Amino acid sequence: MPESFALTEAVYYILLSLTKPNHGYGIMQDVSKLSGGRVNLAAGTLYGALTTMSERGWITALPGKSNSRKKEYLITAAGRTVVENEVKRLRELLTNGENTLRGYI
Amino acid sequence: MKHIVRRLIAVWQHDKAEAWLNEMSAKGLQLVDINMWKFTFVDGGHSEHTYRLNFMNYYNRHETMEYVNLTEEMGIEYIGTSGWWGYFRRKSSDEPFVLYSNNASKIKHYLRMQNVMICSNIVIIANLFNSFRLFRELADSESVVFLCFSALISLISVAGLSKVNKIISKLKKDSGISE
Repeated sequence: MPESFALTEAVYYILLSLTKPNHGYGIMQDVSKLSGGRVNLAAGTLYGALTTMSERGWITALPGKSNSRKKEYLITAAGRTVVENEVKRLRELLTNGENTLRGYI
Repeated sequence: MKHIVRRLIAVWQHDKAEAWLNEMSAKGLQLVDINMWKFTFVDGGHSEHTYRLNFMNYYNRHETMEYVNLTEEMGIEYIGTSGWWGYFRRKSSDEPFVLYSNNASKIKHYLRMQNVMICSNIVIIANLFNSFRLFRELADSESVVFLCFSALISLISVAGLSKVNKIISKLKKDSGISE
């Protein structure tokens, strides 16, 4: 993964919501709550992101109960690294933006 | 009471199909079944449901079930799949009902559509060449009709693919400056 990799808001918030085991509707609710209602995930967007992140090993599907149709996911160590790198990238953006606007640079 | 409406919808006309289904919903006719071009509606509340279509060709059976389970968790009802499209609906509310909420996922959705349309266009164009060859060999009225029909289908398919390409280009341009 390139160092300057930028996550979409959806992927970033989904990864944060998967620091605990979570399923589709729970993820959607957590993302909405975390973003103060600004990011509302649609089903197709969420499913596509979960599929891609599973393929990349950023999240893993947990073994479910046989009678449950809800699939639970959890962030992996690789996923945690991805989100930590994104936090660093966002911090850099924020710092540069604030400093420039205040005329420090 | 059941109302059956027969209507042909091309693969790239899903936005028109959604608009039509939502117009029917506004009139109190709610979609309950689709079989190719046969749409079955029942009487219901005016604008009781909002309808959305999802390109399903990309998903295998297991993925389709996974996706449907996820939509159900979100209060979305799966009506069925016809052709390449899955039909979904949700009780109408103040919150907008969409299946794709950001540019990246919209682009992926259209790219899946584009891939399938490129494959079908290749087959359709190959058939046009065959029709032309047949016309040159036989030059009878039947081969003329076949050639004209193949040419018409090819034109429609290429126009459809071009429409999808334009949508993808616009979305990609937008995602170059914002998410």
